[in-house]
Amino acid sequence: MASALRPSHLPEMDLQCPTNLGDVFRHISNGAQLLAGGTDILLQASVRGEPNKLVWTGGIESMKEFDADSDFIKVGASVPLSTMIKSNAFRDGAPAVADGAQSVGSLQLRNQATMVGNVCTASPAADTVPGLLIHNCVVATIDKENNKREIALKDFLTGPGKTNLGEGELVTCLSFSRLGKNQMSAYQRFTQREALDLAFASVAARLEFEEDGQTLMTVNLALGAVGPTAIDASAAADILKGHPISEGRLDICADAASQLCSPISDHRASAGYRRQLIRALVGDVVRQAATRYGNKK
Amino acid sequence: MTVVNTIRVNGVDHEIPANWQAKRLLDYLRTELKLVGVKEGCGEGDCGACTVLVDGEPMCSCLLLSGVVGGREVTTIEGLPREYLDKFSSACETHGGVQCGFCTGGVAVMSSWMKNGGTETGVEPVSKLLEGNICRCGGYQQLTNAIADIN
Amino acid sequence: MLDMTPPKISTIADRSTGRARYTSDLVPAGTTLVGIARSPHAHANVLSIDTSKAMALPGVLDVLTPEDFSGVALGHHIADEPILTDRVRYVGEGVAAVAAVDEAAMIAGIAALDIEYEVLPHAIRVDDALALDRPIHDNFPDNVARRFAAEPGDWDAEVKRVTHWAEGTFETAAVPHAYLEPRACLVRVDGNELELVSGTHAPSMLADQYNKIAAVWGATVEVTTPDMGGSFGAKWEHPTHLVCLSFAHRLQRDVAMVLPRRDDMIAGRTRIAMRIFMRIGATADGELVAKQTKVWADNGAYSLHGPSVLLAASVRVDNLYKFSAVKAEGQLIYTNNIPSECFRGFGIPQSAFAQEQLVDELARKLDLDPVEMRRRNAVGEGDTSVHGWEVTSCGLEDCLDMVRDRIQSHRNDSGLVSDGRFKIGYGLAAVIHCVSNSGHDEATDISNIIISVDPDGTICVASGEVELGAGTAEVLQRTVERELDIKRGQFRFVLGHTSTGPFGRGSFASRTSFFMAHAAIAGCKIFSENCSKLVDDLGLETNASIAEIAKLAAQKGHAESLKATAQFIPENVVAADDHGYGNIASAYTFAVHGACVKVDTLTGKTMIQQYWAAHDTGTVVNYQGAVGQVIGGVIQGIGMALSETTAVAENGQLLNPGYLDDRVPTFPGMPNVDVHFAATFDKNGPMGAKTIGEPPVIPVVGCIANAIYDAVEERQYTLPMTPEQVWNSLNTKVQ
Repeated sequence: MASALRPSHLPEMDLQCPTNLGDVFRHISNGAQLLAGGTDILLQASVRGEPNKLVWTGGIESMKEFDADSDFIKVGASVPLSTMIKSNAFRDGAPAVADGAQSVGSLQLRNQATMVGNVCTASPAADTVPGLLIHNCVVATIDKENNKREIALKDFLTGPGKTNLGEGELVTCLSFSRLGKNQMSAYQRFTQREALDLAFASVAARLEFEEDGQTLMTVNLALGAVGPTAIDASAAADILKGHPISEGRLDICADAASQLCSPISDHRASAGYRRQLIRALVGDVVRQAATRYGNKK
Repeated sequence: MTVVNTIRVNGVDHEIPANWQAKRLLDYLRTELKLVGVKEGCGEGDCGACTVLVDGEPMCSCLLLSGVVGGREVTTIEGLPREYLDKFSSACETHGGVQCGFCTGGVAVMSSWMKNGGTETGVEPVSKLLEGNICRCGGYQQLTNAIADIN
Repeated sequence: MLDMTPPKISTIADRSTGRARYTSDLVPAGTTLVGIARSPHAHANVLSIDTSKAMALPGVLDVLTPEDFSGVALGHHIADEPILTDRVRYVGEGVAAVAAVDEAAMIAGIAALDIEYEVLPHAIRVDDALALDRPIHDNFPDNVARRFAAEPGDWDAEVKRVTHWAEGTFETAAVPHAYLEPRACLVRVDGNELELVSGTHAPSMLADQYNKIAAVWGATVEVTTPDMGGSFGAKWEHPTHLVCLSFAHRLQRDVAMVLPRRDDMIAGRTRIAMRIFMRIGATADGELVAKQTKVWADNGAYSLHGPSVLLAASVRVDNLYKFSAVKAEGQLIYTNNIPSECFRGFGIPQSAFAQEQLVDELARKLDLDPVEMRRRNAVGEGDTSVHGWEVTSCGLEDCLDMVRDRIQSHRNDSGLVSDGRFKIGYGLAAVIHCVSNSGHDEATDISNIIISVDPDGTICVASGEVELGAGTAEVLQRTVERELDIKRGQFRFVLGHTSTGPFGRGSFASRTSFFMAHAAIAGCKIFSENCSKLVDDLGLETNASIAEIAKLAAQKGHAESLKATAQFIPENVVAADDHGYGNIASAYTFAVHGACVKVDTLTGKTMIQQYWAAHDTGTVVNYQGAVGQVIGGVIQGIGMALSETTAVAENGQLLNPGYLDDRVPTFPGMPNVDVHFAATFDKNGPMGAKTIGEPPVIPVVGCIANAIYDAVEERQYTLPMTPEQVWNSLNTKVQ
């Protein structure tokens, strides 16, 4: 153990602000870490004293792309969350992702933080991830040899703080599907405080209705903060398929979802309580999505 | 590769010295430009006391490095229009919105942004927009009333 | 010579437009920076500190170690807190200090220190501390810093009349003060003159203590309090002040230290966490007869105000009701937690959490309305309470009526009703509180004022008290304006400045406005008389205003003859005896709070729908300021009730050192607080006023707990009443 705790000041930094990807890779190979919005990495640097070599990607033109109008919504690595939230096309096209984006930090932080950053930090409680999962998110990467990969988000996240990004590989953008016909989605999280808090548990749901607008055809569920990474719990929703939403079926679905998760106990919440929150949230989120669908029609 | 080293703060252009590039915008504003109305309450992006407008949008200057705001325009509480500040402070007086005052500058910047039409979705309540501003003296209700009272 | 011009006292306009100057704003660029090497261990002996590598680093100017402060300790009651320690008693305690030319050199200097520890067994819970075989302080072998006991009334005889008891064991949390301005200090030096610039409750008290210590160095210390970004009971004497004073004197350089938030919380202060066993006995017709209290208070590593807080928590709430007999005992127990400290309410919110729930429970048992239960048993004007408090005015009845009526209307009109999942509940709680606390710190309770005339004819009013952001300056201004019939701009005033202002006890204990205004009124009277005398002596026009007379006096060289000094010492007030008995205050204040909550039975989350706060504070001198104090106190109480705590790992490390996880209230989620004032006038108060500082926070926890019980019929015994805890209470029968 060190002789003394490190004072929580930001260390002396080496900052590079290149405008082309080649330079970014060059700085990465010199040991620099990526700086996007900076809301996580600067905090981490203050606490631990590192990283202290950063390369900012906000100067790369190609990473500023944001297309919310196509069938697949596409967002570059430098796009702040607030830019997305302000877009009606995004909020209408992927409501669960938008709900998650609006839950991150605070308005000030959303003007700085990016969705790619939220994903790459790989926190089990990341607010945008459950919504992105049920919107079939694909992560696009590139490395210094210009090799490009497209990885399903569920395969990209491998554990708390862990992704399957290779050495020197970086994420350029995310793309995720717009709601189709007769579909709706929603995301909710449970926090102890109304704002500025981390999710103890979170749930995203995407519903697809039959033409009658009542009977559920498919249901996708994803659970956050109750496992090493967000969990696809769509299997728990089988009971809902082929029927209109009923409290009885929702209860069974909620119980099944709570059995699919593997939460930890920490100073924020116990594992058992997190399971209970999943039980409560599943019903709330499905009902919210259904209400939204009803309002839209 | 061109790096833009100039920054416009409260309407005045400044060349960011090399030794400030990798330091926090908060420290650059407070120490180098002596704009000490910008406060550090937490340095972690939670309290909002260091809020400034960057190209018109509120951000926490404690989580921005000076180098990444090169070429952009920053407004601190010192740069808000005199007329608006008078209105804000008089509304605070009327509604008891100020106690220790350490958070108030950040709230003033947020309020000015809102009064200029600032919003995310256009429908969120004032309290949601101010979720990133902590007032430990507990002046939320008074500040909300004060802001509502500014025309 | 140091320039000892006092800082300008900021106005609301200054504070709302970024013009107010707090300590860190006054630190010039390039000032020598001080950092503290903090222990990673909770309990350890420091075997050796090798400073050679640190001293050899470029930019490191000086290093201090425990040897440099040998024999020096801080403490209001028990001098037990070292400046730098060779015996670590909590994670984050300062072991050495580094002065350097900049932040990077300071951090490097700390990292280069070689400190060898012998780790000792530690205790972070009071039960473990009581069982610890190695004492935390060698001169307190059982780890009990202070014991307290009181037993007024004939216990054995009175309990025979009791037919119904309500009892419980309650746990409260070590809430951080979490003031928005982290701890900061700037020391200016010239030879042996030192000026400490730092926000504090009590500059004169700090100067007294620090001068004794600095005298050994041949130095003198003055304390200047600039604007303060909140304190709530935390900012008193602090080891970091002495570290900075010492560096400045040794180096003959101005030095500064501004803590990052995380360090401020790790090495901070917290509210004293308590376990309280309490039982209250009543007769079948609802008379509260007997009350027993046992308090186990977690002192943390050092005592600070702990002994006073222990006394207050053990007996003060008893004074609200006409108990015939009371049996109270308390222990203040050293642990290896962050040193605890007084925090707005001074231990009383903790015991009010227990008492107001038990009174509620008795009312339910006896099928009595909780308002009537309180009305029937509360003390009133002319009463002397069970611990000797003499009540000279009491607006409790009005407060009870206001809250009862508002709750009734809300029940009728709000449309809120319980359903299968969400339960609605209403609760209320009452409080009595004292205006100051005579005998606190074993020193006379006093306030001084000096009114003088500047060379340019401006009237200068100097008080020893300080502005914490609670409106002290506004009260002083209004008092002087009224008493001297002068306008803003015709006078200036000085607060919290020991080199030019008079001695003051400082701003705490809900005493400031009361004491300062009394002194100011007396000072203004003398000043007016001096003015009249001068008018006669000089044969001036008799209708000249005070401001005009002051100008003339300055022009004609008579300024000195106008100078007025006055002090206020309350009459008929005594220091409490060892058992907490005595009329400790000139006046007592009352309040009743009410809350409507909605509890989600699926998650246990409590959402406050509406809050009512009715206060008897005597004449309201500064209405906006008073409303601000009430709402602010309620919001802090809500944080204490529902979310705020320190999470400590088994190794003693703080797990939530920041705003993200300690969960102070934020803009969203706060209820509307409806504030009322009872129309009372206290004959002992300045202009009939009493106090408002602490009372608003005291009843909140009990009030919300009672509302939660009303909603879900489960008592809450632990703070904070988190969703998980409430959910657990609904799903497991512990009691």
